[in-house]
Formats: sequence, structure tokens, C-alpha cells
Amino acid sequence: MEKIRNASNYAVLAIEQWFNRVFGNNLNPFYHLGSLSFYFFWIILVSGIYVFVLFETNVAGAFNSVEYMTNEQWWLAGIMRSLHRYASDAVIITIFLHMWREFSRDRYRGVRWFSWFTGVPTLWMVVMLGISGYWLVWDMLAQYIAIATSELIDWIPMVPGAMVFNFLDGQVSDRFFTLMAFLHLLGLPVGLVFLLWTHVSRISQIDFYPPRALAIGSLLALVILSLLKPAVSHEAAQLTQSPTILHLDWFYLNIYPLVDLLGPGIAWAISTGVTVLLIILPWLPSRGEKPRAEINLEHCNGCGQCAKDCPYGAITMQKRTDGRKYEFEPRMEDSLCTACGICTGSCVSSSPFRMGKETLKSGIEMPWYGANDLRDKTRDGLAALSDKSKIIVFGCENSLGVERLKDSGTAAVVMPCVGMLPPTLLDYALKNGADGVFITGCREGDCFQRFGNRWTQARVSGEREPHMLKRTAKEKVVVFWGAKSEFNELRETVKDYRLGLKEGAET
Amino acid sequence: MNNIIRYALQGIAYTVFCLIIYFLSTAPAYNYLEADQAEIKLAFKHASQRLHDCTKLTRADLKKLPPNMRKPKSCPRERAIVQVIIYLDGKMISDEKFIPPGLHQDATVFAYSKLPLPAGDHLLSVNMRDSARKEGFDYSKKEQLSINPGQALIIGFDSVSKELIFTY
Repeated sequence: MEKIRNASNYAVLAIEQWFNRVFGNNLNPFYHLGSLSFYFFWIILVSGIYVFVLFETNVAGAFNSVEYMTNEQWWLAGIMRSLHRYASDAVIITIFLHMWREFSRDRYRGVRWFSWFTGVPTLWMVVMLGISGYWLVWDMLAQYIAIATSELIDWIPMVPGAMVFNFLDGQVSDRFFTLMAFLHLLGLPVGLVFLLWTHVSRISQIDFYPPRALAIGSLLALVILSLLKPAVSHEAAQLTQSPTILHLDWFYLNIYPLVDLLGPGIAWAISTGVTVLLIILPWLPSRGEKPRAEINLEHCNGCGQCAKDCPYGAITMQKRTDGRKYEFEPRMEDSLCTACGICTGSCVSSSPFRMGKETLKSGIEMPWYGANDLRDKTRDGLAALSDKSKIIVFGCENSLGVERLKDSGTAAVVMPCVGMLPPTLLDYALKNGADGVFITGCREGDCFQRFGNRWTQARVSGEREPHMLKRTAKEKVVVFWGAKSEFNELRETVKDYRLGLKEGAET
Repeated sequence: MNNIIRYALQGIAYTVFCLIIYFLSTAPAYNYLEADQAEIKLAFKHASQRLHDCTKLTRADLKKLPPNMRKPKSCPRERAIVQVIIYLDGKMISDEKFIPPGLHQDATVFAYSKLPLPAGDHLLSVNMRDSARKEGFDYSKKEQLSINPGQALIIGFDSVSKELIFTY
């Protein structure tokens, strides 16, 4: 599984790199797949509301009302109908890319299993919503879907197998049609909202909206597509006829040819098998999680920065319980913590200048890798360098693999996420002999731990607490964001920096 | 990268995105039936005949039963498998058996199956057995039909009049 994941990750990184060049990191659609999906849902909702105004929710009127929208009021209702369909298709693309990306990045196991797990029924709900939408047009495609869906449902043991008899001769009852309309317009959307809420409930500071430029670009693209190729219906449903050629929407209706070809039993087996496989994927195999962050109240002033910075909402602030003068203290929710260490980086008590030669303790840190370990590694790494110009590189374990840079003039300190780096450790490194400090981590706009590189960048540039010391020479701090595939560029940058140092020393 | 080139490439990316949607939202076309084909749908609900007749219980048999279950007759619930054989122009095109559902195989059969047939004039003959008999059929129907392309011919069974019905 690891080999598949790594190969997949290289492919994703290569595609993302191309998009970074074209769109820039901030507008790379691959970094906004979740929010793009939400955005497409908004387009579906707004266009759906307009279509519903003109739609007749009965068997006799449904087809004609859709035809009216498509042919008579094509300039608005027709576009809305097409937008409704194409945004629904677009959401399937973004959902699948989102799943592919999270799998490739290994962000679906361990503590993060929940989001993956709840994403699977969400996908089912989206597909059911799409299918029920096609049903409502009540054309030959809708008739085909209605009959094939009935065959699928009738196949289930213990279900009274009579649904298909509603679509054989005569007319479909209005009551049945109203039920479908209810499901599409209210029942399934409410279920979807609930599932989406559950899906994102274990992460904090969610981007529900993509960047404006990306939103405008996507909407414009879908509107142009709607104008160039408006969504149209098949012939009106006629139960005495069977369809011949069908223009299926393969994003939603791909299961039906399978039902025709292999029968409902095999179609169920395949879809259930894929669903079960997706659901158990986080445990194939599961990831051994490291011990979570722990709070050391005696070193905590209750500033709340760790709670603001935690990407998973694992830290909340509560009233102080130890009787000290501070008002609040943090509280950890272990089941949400990924042990990324970002909280250590946000804690002012992680400053390496505290506690002299004593063991440094931060207000919040992992028991297996705390502020003291960072300080020791920095100090020892620099002490071991024999070259004249000394460089230290701080990096995370999920991106560039900075340990490979180690040589007589370069020390490397690796941490779970670069967000764990207290800015004052940079001051400490420079004070302890470093001629240059490199901060590296995942590509800008993308971070394995969501916000590690963003917070670090903001802290170093003084836009977010905690800051570096004012008197430190900031020009000696170099930031380099990139993925594994950009390691050579990092090596060249470090080399150039060293050359610059040597030239500076000579002059 | 030059801004004009970047915008042009962004346009290409959006175009590719739309082309994927454009293509997969309606294509490739799926041929459910060939243009010159029609479809037979065998579809009916029917409670087949009981497999065994009721038998009168003897005094000794009744004594073996708990007092609240003593009825003069024992009527096994199991029903016969429904078998339907379809001939088109004298050639058998389908032979299907439908087992009555339920723990005792005593519930109503929901018979449903589909098969394509070439459009045109045909002699359709359907034989159905819903009893324990081994030879012959309980119901038969034969009819000369003219079927158009795309037409759905439904073979049903009227449980009241006890006859096979062709609807098209």
C-alpha cells in the first residue's frame, strides 16, 4: 500500500507543481478541492432553486416544464438548468481529486480517519442526489433510471420486490413522483448537509469558499459551457417504449450499464465492495500514532495562541484550574490531536532562552519531542559543524527530507511539522554560531498538517505571535517551501547561500 | 512565467476541465437496445398453487399436537415454483423458474425479467406452469405480433381471470 501511495503522491505533486506555475500557489485548484466542492454545491443550490420555481412536480407536467426552461426561457432557466447539471458533474470531479489527493498524501489514516470515513457516505449521498435529479426530468433517460433503480432495489433480499411494477404499463402515480421530488429537493439535501457537517467537524478554520479568482473562473467556465452546450432532455418518458440510445451522465449513472450487463446482484456486489474497501482503507494498515501533545500548566500563561493555531481544533481554552493568576488554561482533546507540534511552535514558553541550562519545558509539547529536544538538536547540530560558514536547516518530515543536506557545514533539524519551530529558536541558532538559517516545509498553500508553513511564515515575518527577537538579523533567515521533488532546488539554494557567505567573508 | 502565458494556460486548464464535463456528461452514448430491437418484459405477481393438498388428521395425529394447534386439517403452505417458457417464432428464447419467496416458500412470486427481440412480425408463444405437475402447462398463450423498434412488450398474468396477457 505504501508503494502505491508513494507513486500516487509523486504523480499528484507533479501535477500540482504544474498548476502552481500556472495559477500560483494561492490559486492552485488542487489546494482548494474541498472548498471548490462546497462552492459547486452553492451553484447547485442557487440554480436548483430557480429551476424549482418553474418546475412542475407531477408526472404530467414535469417533462414539459423542463422543456419550457430549456427551449423557451433558455436565456435564464436554460442556463440555470445547465449550470445545475454541470456544477453537479464538477463536484464529482473535485470530490474524486480530493480523495485521490488525501490518499496520496497519507492524510486519511490515524487521527484523520474520521474525515475519510464520513466522506464515503457523503459521496453516496451526492450520487443519490444526482440520480434522483435525473429522475425528475421524466424523459426516456429518467424512465430507464427509474426501472434500473427499481431492479436494483427489488434485488435486495427482504425487500418486497415490487418497485419495478410501478413502471411497466399505464402511468406512474403522481404520489410516487412527489416522493422522488421530495427526496431530491429536501430529504437528500438535508442528509447531505448533515454529512458534510460531520465530515469537517474534526478540523478547524475550514475554508468553505475558494479564493475569489478561482470562484469567478470556475463559474465563468461553467456558464460558458452552459451556453455552448445547454443541457437537454431525451424524448418524453413512454412506458410502452424501451430506450435505444441513451446519453448517460457517466459521473452519476455509471452503475446502470453494469446492472444491464451483469445483473443487479453483481452491480450491488461491486458497489458494496468498493464502498467497504474505501471505508476500511484507513486501517489497511493503520498508522501507529505517536503520543499526543501534553500541557504543562506550570509553564503556561493561558495566552490561547496554541488553541488559535491548532489545525484540528484539538485545543480549547477553559477557566484556570491551578489557582495561578492567569484567567485561562488550554484543554487537550486527545482524539483530535495528530501530534504535529504546531502548538509548541505557538507557545511563548518554547523560547530556548528560558531556563538556562535546565531542561526546557514548554507550556504544551509532545512528551517524545519537546522544546528542549529542539534546543538540544540545534545546539548540538551547530557544535558538530567544522566548516567556516555554518548553516542550519529546519524542516518537516513530510516534505523535502532535509537530513540529506547534512555535511560539515550544514546541520539539519527535522520535526513533525515546521509549524513546531518556535521563532526564537532561529534567534538562538544565530546566536550559537549559525551564519544562516533555512526554514523549509511543504509547498506554499499546501501543508501536510494544514497550517504549519502558513503559521511559520507569518511568525517569522512578524504577522503572527510569537515573533523572533527584534534585534536579530532577519536577512540571515531564508524560507524555502517545496515538496520532495524539489530537493535539488533546495540544495542549490543552500549552496548559493554558502557561496554568498564565503564571498562576503572574502570582501 | 510571463503573465499572458499564465492566463492563457489557466484558460486551457479551465477548458480541459469543461471538456471533461462536456464529454462525460453525455458521452459515450450507451446503446441500451440496438436501433432495430424491441424488448420483452416478463412481469407479473402471482401466488402459485399449493404443492400439497390438505390432509385430514386422524385422532392419533391430533393428540400429538398441543391443544391450541389442533385443527381437523393439515394444509402445507409451500407453493409450486412458477416456470415460464417463451417461444419466438417456434424457437425457445427463455425458460425461467421463479421460486416463491418466504421461509416456507409460500409467498407471492414477483416474476420479472427482460430480453431483447428483433423488431418485426413474430409468433410469440408463452407457456406457464404454477403447479406441481411435471408434464404440460397450466396456462398458455400464442399470438402473432407486429413489434416496432424500441417497443416494450409486457407479458403479464391476470390472477383473477387466470390468463396470460400480452401488452404492447
